[in-house]
Amino acid sequence: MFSLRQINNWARIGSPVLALSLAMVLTALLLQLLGYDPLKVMRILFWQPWSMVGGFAAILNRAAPLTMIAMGLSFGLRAGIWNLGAEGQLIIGACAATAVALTVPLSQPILALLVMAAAGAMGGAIWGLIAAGLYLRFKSNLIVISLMLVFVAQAVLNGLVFGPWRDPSGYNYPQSAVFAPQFWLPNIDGFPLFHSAILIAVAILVGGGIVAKYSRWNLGLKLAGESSQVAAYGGFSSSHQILSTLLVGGAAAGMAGMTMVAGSLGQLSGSVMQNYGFTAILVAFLGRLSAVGIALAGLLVALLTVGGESLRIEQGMSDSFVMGMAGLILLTLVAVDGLLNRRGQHDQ
Amino acid sequence: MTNESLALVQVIITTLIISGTPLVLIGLGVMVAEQSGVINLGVEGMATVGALVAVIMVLHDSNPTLALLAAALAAAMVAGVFALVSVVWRGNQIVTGLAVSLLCLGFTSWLGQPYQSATLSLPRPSEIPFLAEIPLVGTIIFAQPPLVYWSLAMALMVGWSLNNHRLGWLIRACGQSPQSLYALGHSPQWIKTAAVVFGGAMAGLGGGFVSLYSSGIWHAIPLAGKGWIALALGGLAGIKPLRLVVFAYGFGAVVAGQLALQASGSGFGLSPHLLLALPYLAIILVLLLWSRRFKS
Repeated sequence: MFSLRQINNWARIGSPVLALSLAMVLTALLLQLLGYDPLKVMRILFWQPWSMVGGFAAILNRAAPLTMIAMGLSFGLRAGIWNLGAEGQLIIGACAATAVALTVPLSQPILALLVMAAAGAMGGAIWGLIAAGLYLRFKSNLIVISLMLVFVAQAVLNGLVFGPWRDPSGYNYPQSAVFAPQFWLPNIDGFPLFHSAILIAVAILVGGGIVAKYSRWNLGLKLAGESSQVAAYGGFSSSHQILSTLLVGGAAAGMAGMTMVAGSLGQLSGSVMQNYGFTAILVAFLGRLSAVGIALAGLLVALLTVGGESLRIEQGMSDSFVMGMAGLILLTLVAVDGLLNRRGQHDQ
Repeated sequence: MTNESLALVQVIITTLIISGTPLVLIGLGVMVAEQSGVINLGVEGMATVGALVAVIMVLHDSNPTLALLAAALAAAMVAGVFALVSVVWRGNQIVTGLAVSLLCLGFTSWLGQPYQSATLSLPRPSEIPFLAEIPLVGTIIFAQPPLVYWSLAMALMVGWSLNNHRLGWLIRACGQSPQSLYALGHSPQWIKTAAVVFGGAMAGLGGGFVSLYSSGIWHAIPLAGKGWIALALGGLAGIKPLRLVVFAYGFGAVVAGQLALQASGSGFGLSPHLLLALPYLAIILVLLLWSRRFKS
């Protein structure tokens, strides 16, 4: 499973940097081959977001949900519990938060947001627990169950935004009505462009980092990642670990879903998720499952998506170029790690 | 039977075959790789690469066979990269697979932009003599693209070799006990790499089939999750490709049934968007029933 014990500290920091540079060189070659100007593309992608107005805020706003989800996922991934369904947990969290905003008559803004956040986290957690419960009850395949539930969640989302929640005055777009103002997450006081979801993300990262460093729970997860027998010998129950990590991962993803609907949009739309649930898995691994790493990786991927938008506007390049590049960065990281980590074994 | 219901039956059978076949193709590759001990989460991406390559080839040359071979080759090359990182360099399989999928999905959708909504004109598949003359269903079942029949033949071949041939035994031994295989003087790495590359080629064929025959047009997410579904079905089927065929066509039947429900307008009052969840729920259900039967 995912284990970093053979990697020394130099490689822990050095190999992501090496991987990033390698991925950039490979992408530049591809761009050159296709007749683009690689230097120009890279400049727009990596530099422009910093220099444009509101660029830094846009990066942080995007990094917020990504890092929240990734931090939540990191615990399960550390134990080799492959919850690949964060996208579904994100969607259901967003739907649950929307249900509150559309139906519960709360007028006090702080209370409204708290109830909405709780609903989002619970929605995501329940969706995660469904996967965990089915897996435990039937001892089947967690990867497949959690993935399939993503498609089910997408169908639920579409059923809602094309059906009962469709905004009657929304020109038939698949989106809900705009929430009442008390259900909007405000911007940070004194920083008009920075969304308060950033503060929630920071809180989750710090809290997650502390739990990862000091809790017995995380120690058990670490052991399980190294060897399930050792963990069982240490008194850690694997079914408890599966339930608890999917609960935590689901709640974090659901929370992120709430911030996405209560954020800049203020409504639920069929395309609000933008694959953040899948991208967050990438962020978690790029960040080596640690809080600081996840923050950095989240910022990098957010930078790429903001840069990707400028690319689309200025060069007419599709946004999906950026997703491909993010995949390439992760692939080179795994490759570099694998090479540094090579052991003289012939099995596996 | 009235003409209308006959037409409906024909549509259902065609849907079943057209949506089942790519799952059989991709699933066979998943199955072989999984038996060798590699879970290939990159299949969705590999199949997407196949889908794009097939479209580009058909637009330039319009020979579907050549296009499908090119699709298989391209996806096999991607699988080669996956094998290099995950088998030879021992990167984590699941992370490597996810990275490959993201990489391929992102880059194909970007590179496919110029082909957006280009329509493909393919020659009508030729009918199989005599069989196609069977009344009612003959022209549907026996006038499909040749790859439909090839996929079934390949299922038989994979099944035979996994169960009765030395090659299949080597692959399975590699999945179950690579150490002993190594002790016997074989290289588990090479067997796994070969199995993964075979899986990639099959995924490419499946992706090519999707873009040439089910959509007939290029759009940014051609597979729409079929790779993940094939991953589930290929794993579920174990070493029995015929079981895979049943699952794949069963999935096709659920898709067809859901379309029929939509067309008939009943749908039990459920939104058609909600009905789209049915095939995935069916997979979860099969998965659960299946594991209970074998593990309790």
